[in-house]
Amino acid sequence: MLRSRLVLSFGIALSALALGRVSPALDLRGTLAGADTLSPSPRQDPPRFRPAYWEVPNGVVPLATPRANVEFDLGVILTGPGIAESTQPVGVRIEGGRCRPGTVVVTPGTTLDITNADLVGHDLYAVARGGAERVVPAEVVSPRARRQIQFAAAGVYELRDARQPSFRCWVVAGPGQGRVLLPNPAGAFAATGLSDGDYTVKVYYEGEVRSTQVAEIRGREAQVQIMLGGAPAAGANRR
Amino acid sequence: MLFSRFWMLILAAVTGLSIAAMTLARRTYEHDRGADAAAMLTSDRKLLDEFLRRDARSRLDDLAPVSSNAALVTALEAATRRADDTPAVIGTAITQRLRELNQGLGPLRGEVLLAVDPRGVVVGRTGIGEGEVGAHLGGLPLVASALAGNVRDDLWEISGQAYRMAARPVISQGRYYVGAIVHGMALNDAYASTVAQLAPGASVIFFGPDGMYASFHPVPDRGARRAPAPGVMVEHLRRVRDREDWKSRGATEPFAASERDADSGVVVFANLPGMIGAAGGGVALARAVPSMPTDFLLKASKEDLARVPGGALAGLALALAALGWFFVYIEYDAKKKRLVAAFKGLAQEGTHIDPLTLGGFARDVAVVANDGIDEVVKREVQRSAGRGVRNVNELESLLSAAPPEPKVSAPSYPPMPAPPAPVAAPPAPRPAPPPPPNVRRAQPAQVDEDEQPTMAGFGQVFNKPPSQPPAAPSLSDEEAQHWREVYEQFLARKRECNEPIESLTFEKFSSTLQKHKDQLITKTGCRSVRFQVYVKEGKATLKATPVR
Repeated sequence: MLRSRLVLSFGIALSALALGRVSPALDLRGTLAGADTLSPSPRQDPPRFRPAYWEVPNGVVPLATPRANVEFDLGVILTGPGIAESTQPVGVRIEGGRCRPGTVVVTPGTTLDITNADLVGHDLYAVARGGAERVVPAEVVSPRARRQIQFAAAGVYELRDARQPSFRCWVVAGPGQGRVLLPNPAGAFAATGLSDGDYTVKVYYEGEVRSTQVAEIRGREAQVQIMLGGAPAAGANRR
Repeated sequence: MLFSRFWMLILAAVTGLSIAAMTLARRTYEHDRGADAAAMLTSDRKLLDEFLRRDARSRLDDLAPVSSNAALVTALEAATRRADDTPAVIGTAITQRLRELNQGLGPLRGEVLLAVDPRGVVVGRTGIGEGEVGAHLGGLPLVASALAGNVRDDLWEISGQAYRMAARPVISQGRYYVGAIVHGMALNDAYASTVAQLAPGASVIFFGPDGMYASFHPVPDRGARRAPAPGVMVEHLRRVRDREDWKSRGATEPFAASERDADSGVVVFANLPGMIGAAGGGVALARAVPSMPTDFLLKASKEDLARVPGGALAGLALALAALGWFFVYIEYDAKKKRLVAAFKGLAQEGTHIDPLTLGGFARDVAVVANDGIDEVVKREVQRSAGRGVRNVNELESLLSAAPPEPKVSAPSYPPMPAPPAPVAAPPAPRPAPPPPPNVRRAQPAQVDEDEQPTMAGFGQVFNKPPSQPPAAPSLSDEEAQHWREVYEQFLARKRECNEPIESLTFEKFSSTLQKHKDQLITKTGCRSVRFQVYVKEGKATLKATPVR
C-alpha cells in the first residue's frame, strides 16, 4: 500500500514538472475595454464607385452602427527589454477584407510581410495618411499569397485595396516596433517569454495611439487593463 | 427634237440620280445603321444594367426565406452564443441546413451559400469550400453591410470566377442580428447567354481586372453581319480603362471595335458595381454595323418581293416609255416621213424642197439639201463652161432629163429669127403653154439666140438622094397641115438661099420630121412638136419646139 502511494506521488510530481515545461506561465495578460466606442473614420470612396445595385436596410431591425472590431481593427504593440520582434519583419494578415492587426508599427526600412488569407485577391497599395499619392504601387495579392513591402521614411501610411475601396489598414513607420499582440473577440491578449523589466503596451486604432500602458514584470505575471476612449490618448505617440 | 432631247436628258438625269441615290442610299444606310448600332448599344448597356439590377433584387428577395428559416436562425443563435472559435458541431449542422435551403432555391440555387456569425466568421458553408468554417469575412463590404442589417448585393471574384453575390442579415426574434447569409451564383457563359437575349445579335462579355469571365457570341441571322467576337473586345480592355469617359462616367461611348476596319462593328464598355467593378471589371457589348448587301435583291424574300408595287412600277415604266416613244414619233418619225415624201416628190418634179412645208430636223435637212443641190449645180456650171454652157440659166437643163444639146429639139420660145420676107409667112407657131414648175428643167428655155439649136444639116439630109422613098407617116390633119406648111416654107427658104430642092419631096421631109419628132418626144416627154423654118448662115433650117 505504501509502495503504491509512493509511486503515485512520484508520477504526479513528474506530470507536474512536464506540464510546467510545456505550458510556461504567462508574463503579461491584458484586456481591452471600450473598443465599441471607437467608430471608423469616414472613408472616401473613389468617384463613380457603385458598391452594389442594392444596399438597403432590412426593414425590420434598425441598422447597427459600425464599430471597431477589437479582433481586427486594433493594434496592440508591446515594447520593452528583450523583445526580439523589434528588429524582425512585421507580419500582417488579411482576413475577410480586414487586416489583422488593423495597425502595425514598423521601423523604417523593416519589411512588412502581408499575407492574404482571404477568399478574394487584394490589389494593395499605400498612401501617406491624408495624401493621395501612392508611395507603394498597387500589386495584386492573390488568396493565400504574400507580399512584402518596406517603408523607407517615417510616417503613417494607409494600405488600401484598389479592388475594395472599404479596405483600410494603417502602418506606422517609426520607432515603437515591438511584439504584436492579437486580442481575442473579448479583447483579451497575452504575452509570454518576457524577462523582468518595464514594458509598454500601446493600443493603435487607425494609425493613432489610443492608449498606452506600462507594465512592470517582476518575477510574476503582470496584468494590464486598457480602457479605450473615443479620442486619441492625450500626449500619446501620434504619427 | 426638243422634247426627245429633253426626254433623253430627263432619262439620263433620272438614271444618274438613281445611281447616285443608290450609292448615297447605301452610304446613308450604312452610316445611319452605324449610328443606330451605336444607339442600340447604348440602349443595350442601359437595359443590361437594369436587368442586372433586377436580377440582384430578385436574388435578394428569393433569399429572404432562407435568412428567415427558423432552423437556420436557431442554429445561428447557438453559433452566436458559442464559446470557442471552431464551431465544428454547430458548423456541420448549419452547413447541412444551408445545403437543404440551397436546394430549395431551385433555379436560384447558388454555387455557394454560407452563414456568418455577428463577428463575420463563417459558421456554415455549402457549395464552394463545402463545410469549411472559421474563416473571417466580416471585413468584406458585402458581409459587413449585411451584418449591419442591410440587404446588399455584390460581385466577387473567387479563384478567377465571377460570382453574383447577395447577402441578408439573419434576425432573431425580430430584434437581434445573429449573423448573415451570403449567396453566390456564378457569372458564367450560360448567364452571359441569358443576358444576351436582352440584346439580340449582340456579343456580350463580362470581364474583370485580369481578363474575361464569361462571354456570348451570337450566330447572326440570315444575311446579317456577325457581331465582333469576344476576343476583339478583350483586346480593348487595357485601353478602355484609360479612356476619359470610362474614368468619368464608368462607361464608354460606343466606338469602333477595330481601328483598322470601321465596319467591324461597335463596342461599348460599362463598369459593374461591387468589388469586381471597383477592380475595373464590367460588361462589354458589341454589335455589328449592318450593311446594305450588294446582292440584296437575291436575298429578298417572297414577302419582300410581294410588297414591291410591281404593277404600278411596270405601268409607270410603260407610261414613261410610251411618252418617250410619242416624243420620238412626233419629233422624228413623223418629220422623217414628210421629209422622205418631199425627197420623193423632188425626184419626180421640182428642183428644191420647200422647207416651209417641213418642221424640225426635216426642215434643216431640206435646207441643207437645197444648199447641196445649188452647190452641185454651181460646180457643174463651172465644169460645163468649157463645153459651151455659158449661162447659168442653161444649167437648168442639167437638172432635166434631156441633154442640153439635142439639136433636134428646139426651144419653143426663144426669140425667133426673122423669117425671110418673100416667103409667105407661115402660121405662127402656137405658143407652148407655160411650163409647170416641175418640168421646168425639161425645157431649155431662155437660150441665146445665137445658140438656137437647129436642125443643122437638115438641108444636106434632104439634098441627099433617097435610096428608098420612105413611106409617109400617118399624121393628124392638123399636124399634116402644119408639116405641109412647114414644107412649103422650107422650100421657099431654100429657093431664096439658092439651095437645090429637086430631091426634097414632102414624103422625105415628113419622114425626117417624124424621126426628129419621135426623138424629141422620147427625150422630153412632150405631147407634140412644132417646127419653124428660118435661115441661118445662108441656109434654110428648121427649129423644133416640143409642145406639152
